[in-house]
Amino acid sequence: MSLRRSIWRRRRSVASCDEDRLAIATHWQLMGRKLRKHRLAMAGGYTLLAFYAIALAADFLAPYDPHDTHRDFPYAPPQAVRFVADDGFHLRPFVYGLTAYRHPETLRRIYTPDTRVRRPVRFFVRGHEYRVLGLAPCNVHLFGVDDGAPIFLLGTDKLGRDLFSRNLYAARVSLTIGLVGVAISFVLGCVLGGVSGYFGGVADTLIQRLIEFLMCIPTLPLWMGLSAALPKKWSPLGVYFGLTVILSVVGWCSLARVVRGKLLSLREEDFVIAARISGASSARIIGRHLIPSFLSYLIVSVTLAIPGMILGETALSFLGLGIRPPAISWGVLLNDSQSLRAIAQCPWLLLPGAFVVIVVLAFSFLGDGLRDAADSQSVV
Amino acid sequence: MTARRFVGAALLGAVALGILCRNAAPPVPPSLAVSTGKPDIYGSAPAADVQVYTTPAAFTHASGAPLPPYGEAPELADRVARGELPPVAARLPEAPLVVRPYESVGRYGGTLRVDAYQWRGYLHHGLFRRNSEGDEIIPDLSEGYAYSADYRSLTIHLRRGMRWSDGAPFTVEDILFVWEDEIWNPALTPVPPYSDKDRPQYVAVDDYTLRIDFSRPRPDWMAAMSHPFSLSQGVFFNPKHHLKRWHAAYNPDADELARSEGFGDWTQAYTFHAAKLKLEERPGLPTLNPWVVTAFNSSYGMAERNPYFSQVDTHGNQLPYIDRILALRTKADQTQAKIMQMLGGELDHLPGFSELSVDEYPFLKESEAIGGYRIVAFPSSMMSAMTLSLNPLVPDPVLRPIFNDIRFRQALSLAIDRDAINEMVYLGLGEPRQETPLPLVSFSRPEWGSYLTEYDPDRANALLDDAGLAWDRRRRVRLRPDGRPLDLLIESGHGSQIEAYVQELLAGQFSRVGVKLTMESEKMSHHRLQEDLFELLVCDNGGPAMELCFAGGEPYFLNQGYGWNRWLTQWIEAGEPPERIQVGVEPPEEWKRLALWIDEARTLPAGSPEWVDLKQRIWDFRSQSLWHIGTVYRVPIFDLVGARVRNFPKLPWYGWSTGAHVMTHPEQWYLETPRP
Amino acid sequence: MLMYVVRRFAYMLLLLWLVSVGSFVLIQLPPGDYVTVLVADMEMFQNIVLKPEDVEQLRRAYGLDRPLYVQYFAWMGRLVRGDLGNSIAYQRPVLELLKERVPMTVVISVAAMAFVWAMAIPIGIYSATHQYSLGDYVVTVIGFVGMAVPPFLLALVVMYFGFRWFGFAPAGLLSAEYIAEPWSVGKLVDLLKHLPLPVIVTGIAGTAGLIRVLRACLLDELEQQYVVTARAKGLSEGRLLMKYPVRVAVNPLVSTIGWSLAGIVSGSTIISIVLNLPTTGPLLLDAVLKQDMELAGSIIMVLSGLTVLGTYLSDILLVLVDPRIRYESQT
Repeated sequence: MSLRRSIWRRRRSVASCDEDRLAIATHWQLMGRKLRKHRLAMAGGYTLLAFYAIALAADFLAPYDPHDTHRDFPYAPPQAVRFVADDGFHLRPFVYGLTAYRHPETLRRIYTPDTRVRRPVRFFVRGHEYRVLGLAPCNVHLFGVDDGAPIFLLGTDKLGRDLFSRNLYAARVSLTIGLVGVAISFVLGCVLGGVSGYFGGVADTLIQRLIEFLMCIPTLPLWMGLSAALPKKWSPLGVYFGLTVILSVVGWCSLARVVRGKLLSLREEDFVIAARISGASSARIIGRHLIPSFLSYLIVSVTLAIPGMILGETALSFLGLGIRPPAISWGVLLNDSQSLRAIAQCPWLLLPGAFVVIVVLAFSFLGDGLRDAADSQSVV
Repeated sequence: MTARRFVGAALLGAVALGILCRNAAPPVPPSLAVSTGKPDIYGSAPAADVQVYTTPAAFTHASGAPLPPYGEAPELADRVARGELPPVAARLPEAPLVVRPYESVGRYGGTLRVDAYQWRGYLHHGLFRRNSEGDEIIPDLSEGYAYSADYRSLTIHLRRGMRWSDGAPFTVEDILFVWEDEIWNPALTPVPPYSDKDRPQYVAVDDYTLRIDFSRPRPDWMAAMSHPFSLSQGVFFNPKHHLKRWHAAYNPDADELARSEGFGDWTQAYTFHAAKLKLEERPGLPTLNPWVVTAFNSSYGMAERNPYFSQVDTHGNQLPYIDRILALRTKADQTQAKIMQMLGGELDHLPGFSELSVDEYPFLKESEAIGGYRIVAFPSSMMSAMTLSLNPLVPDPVLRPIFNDIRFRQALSLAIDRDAINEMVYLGLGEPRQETPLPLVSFSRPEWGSYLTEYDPDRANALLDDAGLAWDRRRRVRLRPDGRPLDLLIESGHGSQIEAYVQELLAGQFSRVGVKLTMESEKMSHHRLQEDLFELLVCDNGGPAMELCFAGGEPYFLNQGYGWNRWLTQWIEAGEPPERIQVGVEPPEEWKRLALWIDEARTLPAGSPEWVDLKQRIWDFRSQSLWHIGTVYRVPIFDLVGARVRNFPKLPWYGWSTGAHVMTHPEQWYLETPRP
Repeated sequence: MLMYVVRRFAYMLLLLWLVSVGSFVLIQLPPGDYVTVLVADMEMFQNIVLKPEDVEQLRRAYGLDRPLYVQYFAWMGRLVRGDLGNSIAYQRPVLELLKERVPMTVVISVAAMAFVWAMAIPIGIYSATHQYSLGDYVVTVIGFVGMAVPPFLLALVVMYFGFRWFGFAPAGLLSAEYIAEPWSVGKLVDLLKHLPLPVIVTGIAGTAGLIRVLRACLLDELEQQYVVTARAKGLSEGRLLMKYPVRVAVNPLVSTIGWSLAGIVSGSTIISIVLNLPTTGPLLLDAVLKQDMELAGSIIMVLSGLTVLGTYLSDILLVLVDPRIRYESQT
């Protein structure tokens, strides 16, 4: 909130960037200002906003139910949306029909656009039913073509399922798993790391042993053991939360160590001793003095942790321990692309990888910008 | 860098991806776009099979020419010259088996580089095998067999003068050693694999003749034992002279020896050295195979030519042609890494069975030229390439009566769109079929395979309505009698991707008849199968529902419900009265009757009218019980064969019932250029 | 100081014991045991059907019929005596298996780590000292892309295009012709030919992370008063940078060294699987999947032992490097 307000204020005072305002600006206002200067971070932020908005509206944007199979179109390549045909420019975009045949020798399905069949793209068409925000039933979709003819913007998979729709739905799972996972590990990491680093003694010993215990068991068996413990008949949602917790079991430890390490070296600083002498409570000292002094580091850690979680989900899927079909995540989609055949013959199956890269990049840039911005001592 | 530049970079990336996609454009102009009917990927029928003659005399009789004098590999000739080995005629048995190579007589030399996963397929030889059509049992390491007229006794003839790879003679002693000192030694085998009722007597007629006396007629015994792995080393015979030092009956200090080697007691040491079923992992164990394992570690296995191997080609040259086999150990399910090795010319052969899914065919076919290999495809001998099994003993008390209602199972069979599965999963190569004996099996009836294989969701819905499974209010899913939605867990037999695809297709198809599926694509643990814990299971190539042995009996005693199976085993084999049986679950009457039929069929000679009649009764019942619902059959299995490998035969069928690539006779393969 | 070292050592032993219990439980957690896996394999690949009695016999032969705590203490007893036990699946001592795998793993990991540090430290320093320059952006973006690509995808794509463009299929660490040969110049050359791909793929993800951490810390340090003072005193930029800020900024990196010790020995499992590298990672994965208790447990113990040892060393190192950290009894 404060961040946006400061951006707003700055916009109003663009003409006269008066010194007074700057002098009385709070830490967060200064941060907002500097963040806006960080173009890469802003690009990252907007990209993320766009991705989350798309994920939220996946039902509406997707032309097909992500589980619908099209038996005549397995491994169909992406179709181009066109405006120009033989007879000139058309205001309404259209796609060509698809003709398919099986190569007699290699048995590969080969698709060619059928330029004789032009299918105009219609907007706000009726299709499969969904619930708006989980409430009101609705079946309006942004676009589609008549008679259920194919419009596969990102191609299809082996079972002829529209990858555009599947990617949209996958974004929901993949984008939130990072946030939820990091939230869990951030809270755990800060609290336990803070307690451990500031108080020391028995608490420190216990927490450190716990962290060491968790960290020195190699991640893979830990993941495998824990996901083997997830019940078979859980709903996809249950599995999803189970996995988030599994991912953060490993995630919070490193954060807690970072917090502790920083606190250990900072608590000897003069300003802490001063605060302690003036009778400030421990919680206040940690919350008001210590954590802000290395907040930049925490933010870097957290923003680096979100991509880690997203990548972790794909890794779990690769090992067959992740989210299970019919639930869809980018990791699940990428699992289909794990073959030389996919790379050589249907590279569009790799596209979820591109989305993962973009989102991870965006998070990294944003985190990077935040880090620079949170650095309150630097000159604006 | 500005936001604009960022967008620019993103666009550039998109363009690059676009180009990538374009590169993958079809390599063949659409003018070729006419394909009618099923493509033939198997090629023409084999011109000539690898022919086997039991003895040189049989060869002479068949070809009219005497077998030329024996030849041997130059490397062995050198060792003979140095006095390290006896001459070839002394190493071969008096009458060696003669193999007519597939294409031509080969040349000696070279290292065959393969993957270690199915390594035993190259090495393994048993006493018998089947011919490539599968309808005849032919001698391999042995010289032959003969039944008595009443099928109560069987005589197996070994080859005179045959030797283990260390030069010691191979005799009936080596068979009796396993039979008496291992199978009937309570310390090694607390519960022997034969009930008292069925226990045969092994009699050594002489050093090279074994007689097996059964307690009742057993014409099925040879048929059941004709798999190359059945009467083979470790299971049926083992080198007594080598192993007896670890056996307490022959070495009073066996326990001490075991402890000095780090084992707990002699049984552990013996089990280790005898390498039951792990022959290919035990360097130093003498064998009768064409190659002897000399090294086996976590990165590779190595096997060298056996100088005493008992077979020759039609020119009298001792087999095998290839000097040694190097088996690279790649993680078992890392098919892509293995394909990469094949593409890069690091492997000479990659067996397709349970390794290469049909899905890989188009890519591998397109890459033949750059990879320097050829694809050799065979039709699979499986009854059904992918089978949906229902668990009759499903633990959920509400589901069990539903599963046991035949209408429910019939409805599921009708709800499967087999054409869609065939088209999307099997490249359109298969044919719809229930899991029943293949058409070429002598007693097969055509109506078994096509029973309820048509796609008819309306009829399926009507059957489910009849069975009392009503729809919910919004007609989304059917409800169980307890009011909960009919939601079944469908598991995967091998955890393969093909199985996952079929699961997803079935989930879509069954949702049209109101049956919801929850999918588990991980390989189902054996525990869940044995404890009857699963609900539905899809399984490709094998698993609980195996392909049918060609002329043999039932591949499994009974494979429906392990609990039933255990109960029936006790009932039939141990002859326990029903009230005293403690294991498993008592099956319904009709299954008991079926078990009696199967047991009776074992005592009838294959092909006799009574046998055919009984078999047909058995399969009339089984094909209609639909506990295993078949999808399609006759899908291809294909091997990748390196360009320098010659004499790789075409087979009319391919499958485990005939011994997988054992049937391609690796001992008569040769390498055109010994060095890659 | 000595007390601190000794006390930490005692904790270390306690921790290792906890890990042994933890990993034992973790491996036993999935239902079934090695014999169920073996039996399933036999039915699948060898068409051999075992009766329940046979299965029990197998279980007895492998000692899996004993109660769990007996199995645990038998394993522990041998472990304490320095015997890592035997792998059921391989029927060989675990130590031998590790001897086959660890050297190659260490070669790859150390090369990858050298690659990471050699890339990250100069780039991190450059990036911090040239904040917001074009160069900073370029290395930032490249570094992040490296971090953002899922490693299994990168490995497979690089492998395939490496093959299509250069005709070289680097699956594995040695060509088939050398794998069974004794060491020679040819074999070494072959190894070096195969090494770059796994090293780069393994290293590339770590590089970006390290660059970011280093850059962040260095930026913090560069604003400290002592830097201004030093600069005012006329110290050259290069010396100034190397003498204090870089040293302090490396501090957080030091605390991660401890954990990488185990990583060096285990290797990157996922990349090893895709590229078919003979490292300990896939060995462990297989062992856990097959519930090969002694192999999996002992590898986990070795890796955990190294982690614990590494943490122990890096804690002590941290005290030595950063004088601000107290090591006396903490109250």
